Amino acid sequence: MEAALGVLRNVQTVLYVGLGVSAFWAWHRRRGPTRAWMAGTFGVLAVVTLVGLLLPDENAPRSSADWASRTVLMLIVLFPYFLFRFAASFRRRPEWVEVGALALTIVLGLSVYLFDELPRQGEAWGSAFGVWVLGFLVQWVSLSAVVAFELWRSGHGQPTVSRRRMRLLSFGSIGLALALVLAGAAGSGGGSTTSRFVVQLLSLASAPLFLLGFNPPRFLLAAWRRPELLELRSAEEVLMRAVTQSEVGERLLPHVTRIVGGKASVLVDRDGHVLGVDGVSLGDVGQLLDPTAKGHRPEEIIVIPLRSGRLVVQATPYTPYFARSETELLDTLATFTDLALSRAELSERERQTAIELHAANEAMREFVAIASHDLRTPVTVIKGFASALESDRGAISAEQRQQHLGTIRRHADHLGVIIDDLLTTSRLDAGVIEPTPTEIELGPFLRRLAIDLHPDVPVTVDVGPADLRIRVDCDHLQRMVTNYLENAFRYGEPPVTLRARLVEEFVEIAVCDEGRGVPPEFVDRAFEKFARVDKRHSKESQGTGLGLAIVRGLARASGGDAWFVPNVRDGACFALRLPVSGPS
Amino acid sequence: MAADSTRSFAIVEDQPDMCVLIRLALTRDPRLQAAGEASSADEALALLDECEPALIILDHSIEGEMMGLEAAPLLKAKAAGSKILLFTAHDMSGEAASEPAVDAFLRKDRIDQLLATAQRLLGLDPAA
Repeated sequence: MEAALGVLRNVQTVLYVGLGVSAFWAWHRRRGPTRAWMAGTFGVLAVVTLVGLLLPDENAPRSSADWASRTVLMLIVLFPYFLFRFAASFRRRPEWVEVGALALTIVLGLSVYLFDELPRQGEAWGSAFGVWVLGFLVQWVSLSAVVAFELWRSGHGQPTVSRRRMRLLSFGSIGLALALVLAGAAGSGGGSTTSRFVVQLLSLASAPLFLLGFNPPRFLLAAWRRPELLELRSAEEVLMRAVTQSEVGERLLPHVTRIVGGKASVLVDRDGHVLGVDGVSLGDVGQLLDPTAKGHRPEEIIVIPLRSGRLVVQATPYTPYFARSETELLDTLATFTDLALSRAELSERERQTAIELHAANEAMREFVAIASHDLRTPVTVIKGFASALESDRGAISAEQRQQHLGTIRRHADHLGVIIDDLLTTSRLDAGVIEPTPTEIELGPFLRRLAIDLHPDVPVTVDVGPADLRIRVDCDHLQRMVTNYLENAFRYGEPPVTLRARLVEEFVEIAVCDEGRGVPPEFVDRAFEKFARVDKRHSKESQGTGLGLAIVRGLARASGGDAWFVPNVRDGACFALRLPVSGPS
Repeated sequence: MAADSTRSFAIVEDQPDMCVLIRLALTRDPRLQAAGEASSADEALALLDECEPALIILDHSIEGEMMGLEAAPLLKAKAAGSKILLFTAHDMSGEAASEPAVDAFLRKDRIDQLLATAQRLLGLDPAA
């Protein structure tokens, strides 16, 4: 039995020293508080087992044996504290717990050196040493229990690898604490050989538990990771089937959250628009995406950059240490997500194009219908009166004849305007209108235009600065201002104002009247082709319905724009803007 | 109904020139007499209070809240004996065919067929 005990002790030494070395190596490779505390924890164990081997035998002088034994005891006291700090590096404990643990550890560690001499094996413990052993057991068992409970409880909801690693560490802590309690219970005599064997066995069994929990071999990792790999496959399938970008977000994210055992995940496109959320409300997404938000723990946030945006996962404090490989699975998923988002974007663009084509077809159909109607009316009148003049030649008085001819001329003129407007609109749509700019003095040009258009109706022309000169296509400018003025005369009430102002490198020209204004429902479509104030509400003569569309088209062809000016209390106000230096 | 009796017609049209033209076209047949003109559905309904024309020439784009096609059933309800001819520049043969109150449809640019259509509707012999 003694020989077996010796073998167990040697195996244990090898394992704990190996554990200590690999913990230090892990900390050396990737430094951080978690790995530092882990290295400290297992480093202490390794040192204790090594120093234990060097302990002088029972026949050695008491002074040298004392020195080694006190050092071993002091180091053993550090082990549960370091393990506790390792667990607390993920989730801080209440301050009084942390301070209490530290104080107890310092007191126990230093008090080892206060005893006159330590009892040797088989010697009776003095009462002071008995109290120390009791305190030591309380410290070890309570801290180990806190760590074991914390790791066990937090493993819930973690990916399989993390959960198993955390639970192995939890078992290891319990095993070692149990071994110590048994050793303590055996008292000064060290107990029977059997009890020492059990203690040794428990202590030895803890080593592989710690080893597997701390640094599991690859084959175990691969076996444990199967559920997460299946989750990854499901996520990839989802990505293959998703049609829209929001579908990608909605269906992918639950898998993403589960793969890393996170709390929430968000998918945003390259413009920062949220495409999907999981585990968080849309209102709280901002906080998750904002690294400066209150209560934000950057180490818990995993950001996977995508070509078409980014995938942000709120993980747990344990993820960076225990679930690094699961986080790497998300990198694999990123490529698929990018592909799915690109495909969805293309498909969305295709759908949008189809909608636009349909709308364009509808607009064209409507255009043809309205144009046909507007062309047919004057043609009908012209044909009808011409026919009446021909067939009823004898029955028609000279006065009627003049009236009929006048009607024919009026409608022929109107037909000419419609045809001209239609041709202009078509050329604007085709983009074949090229402005031919010349330099003019704007004030005299606008005044002459207003007088020529309607000599009987005064128009207030106000140009500032008065001597403003611009480079502009005069025919286009005349057409645009004429259309605005005709609308003001046709639908508005005098006085009509024509105002031009220099605004940065543009001239803004506005025509305002003081009539009934523009019906609100008409404002949005005022510049559309054939947009006219609903005839149902108007008795006024109708224009071609192309005037404003032509103004906007011509203004844009020169690098400017045309728009309705809202919030004019009485009447309507339409404006246009042209570059002073001419079309770009 | 005697083929040579006088028939009256009403015009529901908001363009004065078209009104003149329709009147000119129809009164070439001396058996047809103008009963009145209206430029909106309300005016047309008021006109039917005063007379019941044999034929109503109804434009679609008229003034007021109600369009011609919408006004047709109301006009028919008030003057069941009147034939309604929808006469408009819009392509509305389909809509006109599915509205029972409309007896015939003619597009405005075929104004040369207006008289013949009116005569056929009223059962008048074109040769008489």
